[in-house]
Order: sequence, then structure tokens, then C-alpha cells
Amino acid sequence: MSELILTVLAIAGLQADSAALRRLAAERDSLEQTYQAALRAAGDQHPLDTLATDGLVVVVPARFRRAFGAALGEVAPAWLSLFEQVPPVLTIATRGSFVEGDLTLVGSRAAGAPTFGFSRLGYRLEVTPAAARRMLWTALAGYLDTEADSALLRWTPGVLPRLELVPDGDVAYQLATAPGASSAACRRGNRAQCAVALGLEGPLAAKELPRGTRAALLAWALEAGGAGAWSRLVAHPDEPIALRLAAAARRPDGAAVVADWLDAVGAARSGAEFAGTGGWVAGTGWLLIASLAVAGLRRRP
Amino acid sequence: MIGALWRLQWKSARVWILAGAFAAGLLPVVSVSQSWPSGERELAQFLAQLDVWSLFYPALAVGLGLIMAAVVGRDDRRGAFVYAYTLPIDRRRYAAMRLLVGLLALIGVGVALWVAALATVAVAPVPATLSAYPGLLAIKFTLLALIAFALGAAIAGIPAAGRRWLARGVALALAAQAVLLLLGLEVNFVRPVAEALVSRYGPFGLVAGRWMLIDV
Repeated sequence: MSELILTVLAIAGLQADSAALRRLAAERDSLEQTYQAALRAAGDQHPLDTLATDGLVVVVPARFRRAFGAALGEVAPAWLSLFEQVPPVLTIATRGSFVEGDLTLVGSRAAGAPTFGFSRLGYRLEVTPAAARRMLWTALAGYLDTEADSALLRWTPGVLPRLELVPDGDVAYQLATAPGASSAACRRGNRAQCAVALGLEGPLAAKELPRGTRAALLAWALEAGGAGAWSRLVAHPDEPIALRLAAAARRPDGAAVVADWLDAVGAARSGAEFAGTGGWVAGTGWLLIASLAVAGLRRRP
Repeated sequence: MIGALWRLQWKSARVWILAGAFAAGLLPVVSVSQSWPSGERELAQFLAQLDVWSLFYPALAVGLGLIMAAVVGRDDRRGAFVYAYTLPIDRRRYAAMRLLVGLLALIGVGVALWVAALATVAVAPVPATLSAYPGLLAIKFTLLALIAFALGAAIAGIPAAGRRWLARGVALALAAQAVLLLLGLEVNFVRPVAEALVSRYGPFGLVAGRWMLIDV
């Protein structure tokens, strides 16, 4: 295991002497064993497995290996790309409860950094790659929380910036239904009032849209900004949030961020959620198949 | 021939066709009028209530499709297929025409829903920030009802012995699953099947997704 961790750390680009690397590897081994023991103590009798990639190590019940392996393959590159400097290698541990498909995040921790996990998030998930991906992002957002400054945390209190929050029908729903004068003006096309409703301009207390909407804007800015977006966001904690979002999203100013985000939300309006092209095609296909079956089966009534 | 089969079906299934059309037409009218917002502050509540009402659309579509399939199949079985045998056409063609008139009846129900939905959004002005989807709603309803009808008709077309074995198999599987759950075993083979049926590309995949006449 130590050799694997040495490799991971080397790939992650950590510039340290071999003694430091060995010390880190020993700490990682110890941490993994601690998690394994914690999982067993928590009543998880299932065999556990450890998945490792650049910057991330995940301890999961072995039966969920495939789902978490697929999720890790997607999440790890996106996670690493958020930073200009290579972040610390993180360990995330999960356990399966007695109900199949019910997962609990036992804890997560950055190697060589203070523990930020062990929050015991209760999750009822189907163990699909998508569910595993959500869980990984939630755990990783816990780390972002520890890096965020107070201004950023005030703007999105208690909401973790998960990349999966990129605009969807729910955000369009929140924008279309939020009460308040600024939100109403925003709906009528006044984009300056959208910034007010989002708490980007004017007093912070004036924000009217739910914090989930603000978290979605933040996630979109990180996604839109590409490589190093998170590092740019937290680089200047004294600047207004709008400017910081603009830096993260590589936009000239906050107004451009809001405008582009609203366009993205508009494009994700839920009209397409009735079925989607695949759904319509599949439905028509099943109708044809069943119709052919009717004709075939009626040969011998 | 189609006309004769249509009259035959109308005679036995008109109650269901008319009741289905009435219910489908009533749904948009009642759902919107019951939860119509008095101001922008109530938009969220309006959509939430409309979301609850939207559960009735797929339920009605699937239910009506299966009932129609059962009624059509019952007619043929009750007459021991004598009517079908006396017709001067191939049995496969007869089955196809039987299916076609059933599909036409359900398309009629879908049209009733579409007209009622159009009338509803015409009378009740949709807030500028929301959109109405009468066409998509009616198309989705009709397609789901047609799929349910065709699948039901396919099952009804299985010879009686085969249908009995199928029913026994399903009942046995459900009973076995219940026993396994009671024994506390983490084995669930019914759930994957159910999920496959309503998955995105499953036969009843259209049950999922939005069913809102008015939405964002």
C-alpha cells in the first residue's frame, strides 16, 4: 500500500524528499486503517475496498467498487482542475448500512491536514455511478468549506459548492418562483435586479433567491472558469463576491457572470424534461415492438 | 372492416373511452383552477400543487391503456374467436386492425386532453415567467397510453395456458421476494425489474419526467 501511495503522491506532483514522502505514506496507511476500523466498529461487516487516484483515496464497501470506481474516474480530474496548486490528497470513507443502497459518509480527511469530516451525513442513495459521484462531491465540498473565507461562507451559508449543481430545472424553478421585488424584476428581464436578488449587489440581507440558487451560480462559475477556478475564487477574499465570481468564471465582471449564468439556466428550462429525445424514441420503439408482438401472438388464438 | 371493428369496440368499450376522455379533459381544468395563484408570492405553492396533480396523468394513461387492452381481449375470448375466424382476412391482419382501432380510441382520449389543456391555458393567463405545455403533455399522455395498450394487448394475445403460467410466475416471484425480505436477506430481484420497466429506456419510461401543464 505504501508503494501505491508513494506513486500517487509522486503523480500528484508533491515536491518533497523521500523521507517526507515515506512519512506521508505511513500516515496515509495509518489513516486508512483507522477508517477501516471505524467502518467495522460502525457495524459494516461487508468487505471493504480502497480506490486510489491522483489526489483522492476512497474507502468503500467492496460491492460498491464498480460504482465508486466509475465516479472517481470522473470526479478526480475535475476536482484537481479546480486548483492552481495541487491540493492535498484526500481520503473519503463510506459504509453501507443494512438497507441495500443506503450509504453513510463516515469521514473524510486531507492527508497532513486537520480532520474536516466525520460529519456522518445520512444518505439514501442508489449505488449508481451518479449517486457515488454526488457523494464524492459532497465530501469534497467539505474540504472546500474549510478553504473558503468568511465572506464566501456568508454568501452561501451551509451550502457546499458541488459541481453537480450546474444549472438544471430546479434552478429555473427557483428563479421563476422566488418571492420579493428584486426577484420579480429579475423575472421581467431586469438583470441588474437579478444581481441584487442573488446578493451580489446591495446589502447582503437583500438577497431573495434561496442559497441553493447562489450555490448553483457558484458551481456554474467554477465549471465555466475551467482550470484553477477555485484558486482564483479564493485568491482575493477582500474583493466583492461578484468580482471574485468573475475571476473564477473568467468573465470581465459580475454582470457578465450573471448574464451568462441566466442564459445557461434558460437553456436548461424544464420543457425538455418531459421526456428528452431518448425517451420519445424509446417510447415509440416500445410501441412498435408491442404492436408487432400483438400481430405475432395472435396467430394461434 | 376497420369501421366494423370500430363499431364492435365502441359497443363494448365506449364506457371506458368516454370516461377516459372525460377524466383526461377534466384533469387540466381542475388542477389549474384548484391551485391558481393569487399573486407572485404563491407561484411556488401553485407549482407544487400542480406537481401533485400531475401524478394523475401517467396513472390515467397506463390504467386506461391496460383496461382497454383487457376489454378488447375479453371480447375476443368471450366469443372464443368465432367472430375473428368467420372474417375473410388473415388472423394477423385482424389482430393488427384490432390494435389499430384501440389505438385510435386512445388517440381520441389524448385529443380530448389536448383540447381541454389548450382551453385551460387560454382562459387562465399563465404568468409571464412560467410556460404552458399543452401539446407536450397531450403527446406524452397519448404515447404512454398507447404503449400500455399495446403491451396489454400483447399479453392478452398470449394463449390462455401461457397467460396462466405468466401470472403464476409473477405471483410466485412476488411471494418469494416478500419471504426473502421478511427473512432479512439482502436479495431484491423485483426492484431491478421494476426499475428497468420505468427506466429512461424502459417500456414505461415515460411515467418519469415532468407531467406539468404549466411549468417553468
